[in-house]
Amino acid sequence: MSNLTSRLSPIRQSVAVLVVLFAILLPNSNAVLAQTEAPNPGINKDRIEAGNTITPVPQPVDGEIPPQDSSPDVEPVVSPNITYTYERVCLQGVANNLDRWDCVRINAICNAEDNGVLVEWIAIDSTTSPPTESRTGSRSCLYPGTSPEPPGGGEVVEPEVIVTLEDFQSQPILAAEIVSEPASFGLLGGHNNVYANVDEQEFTFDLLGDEVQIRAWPVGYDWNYGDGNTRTTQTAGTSVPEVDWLFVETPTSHEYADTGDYNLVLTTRFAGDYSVNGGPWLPIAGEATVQSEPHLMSIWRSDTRLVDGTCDENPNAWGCG
Amino acid sequence: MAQFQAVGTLACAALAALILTGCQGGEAAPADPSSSAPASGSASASATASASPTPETPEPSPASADGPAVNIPVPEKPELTDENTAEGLEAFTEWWFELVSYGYVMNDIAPMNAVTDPGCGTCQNIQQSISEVYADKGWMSGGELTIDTFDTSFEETLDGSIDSYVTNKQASISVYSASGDLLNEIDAIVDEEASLTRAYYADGSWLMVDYGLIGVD
Repeated sequence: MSNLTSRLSPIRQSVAVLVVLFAILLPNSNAVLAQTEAPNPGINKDRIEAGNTITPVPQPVDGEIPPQDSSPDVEPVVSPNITYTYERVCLQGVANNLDRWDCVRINAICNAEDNGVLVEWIAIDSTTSPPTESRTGSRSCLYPGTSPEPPGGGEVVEPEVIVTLEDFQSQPILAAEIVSEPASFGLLGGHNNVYANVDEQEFTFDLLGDEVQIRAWPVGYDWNYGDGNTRTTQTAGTSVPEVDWLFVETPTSHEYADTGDYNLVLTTRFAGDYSVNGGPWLPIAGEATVQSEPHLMSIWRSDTRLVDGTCDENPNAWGCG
Repeated sequence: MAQFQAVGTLACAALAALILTGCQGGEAAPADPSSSAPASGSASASATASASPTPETPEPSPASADGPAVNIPVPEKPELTDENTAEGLEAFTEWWFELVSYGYVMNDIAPMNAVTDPGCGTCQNIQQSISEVYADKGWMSGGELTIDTFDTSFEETLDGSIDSYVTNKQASISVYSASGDLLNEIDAIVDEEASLTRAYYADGSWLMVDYGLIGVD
């Protein structure tokens, strides 16, 4: 009997401990719940609209603020003398060596459909000579097969010729050349580096008496490594020093899981702008795709063994001679 | 991660209650470690020496799990920021983000507001989230907002301001309660969508008119 109580009491003790634990845990579990409402000071950006302009309160600077034009884009100007054209935003900074990846992030807002391009409206005032072009700070998304609406229902200057995606795709755009390091040879499990050699290209042609210029530049690369693996990159990839071949992973390198011959296929996507009779550069909605010649990759197995000397010491050893 | 930390704190609290030894560190009030040095310091020879009346600039100390940032100086304005050029605008924009970052850790966005138009909606969001963090003596560390890319055509729009496209990075953030509990952890981010800054040049310097995501009509 006394034996039984002494066996029970540790159980009672642990129950008591458990109760204490619960008593502590319960209020704290509320704290865990409250954590979902913990302050989150991560940046939370509002979306800027075109009309969001300087607040008309006196700024604490001495001297007067230059008088604000009474017209600024509170209401976009709709006048027979003002017409609108648009230009691709992601080229506006081209003088600053705009990175291709920047274009992806600038066009990211135009994701309602594929291949959306952000454009900014340019107001053309024809009451001056020559006509004055001004940025409006107002933007739209350009999608293939659609024409964006200018701010406030203004009138768009239509070029004499409109170049569609089909027109763009039918241009003789030169495909990228695929380069592999080492050339067409690779090792199982190695980082086989491949990259695309491709340039910006320009075409000029006559269309019913109008001179049309198109410029095309690569914006994306769809790699099909021939072993069932695919990858899309914004970079063309680049050459690596020979000492790094097979050892260093690159944004475009690939590891094959089996030996054999593979046909690597690359599709390069081009964005394009066009200009009619020397007029402004207008974006072509959509991307042209150009497939490169398949590139042979022969993947070999390498064998590694531990050896205990140099080939100089033992020319007949494994792997020597 | 935050959840895991919270569980750790919980276990610690439970242990503390049972064993009554307390958990070191985290529970300490956010005492200012640098300014309290002379009282406790045996190794603070220089601190005791500085008892001389010369008002030295107080030692800055970054925010950490031990307490909020103290004495971080307001980011100095680089000379280039007053130039009415693309380079000047970029320098101004960089400096402006330094002021925002300063505001985060020092609970003081007055320097940012001094060069920002009150109509900037994102800036009001920043003000609000900072107020939330520092309410009830809480604090945060990290959150430094920097420019990843900056592009501008440097051409005026109809209202005379100039738009630039920026992408930001923000360093990871830890938010602490007054008692030093880790309330929230926010991972570092790199923008996947570009933002717009709208700036206006007048009387020899730039004013940030607005900053936020790009709007489309």
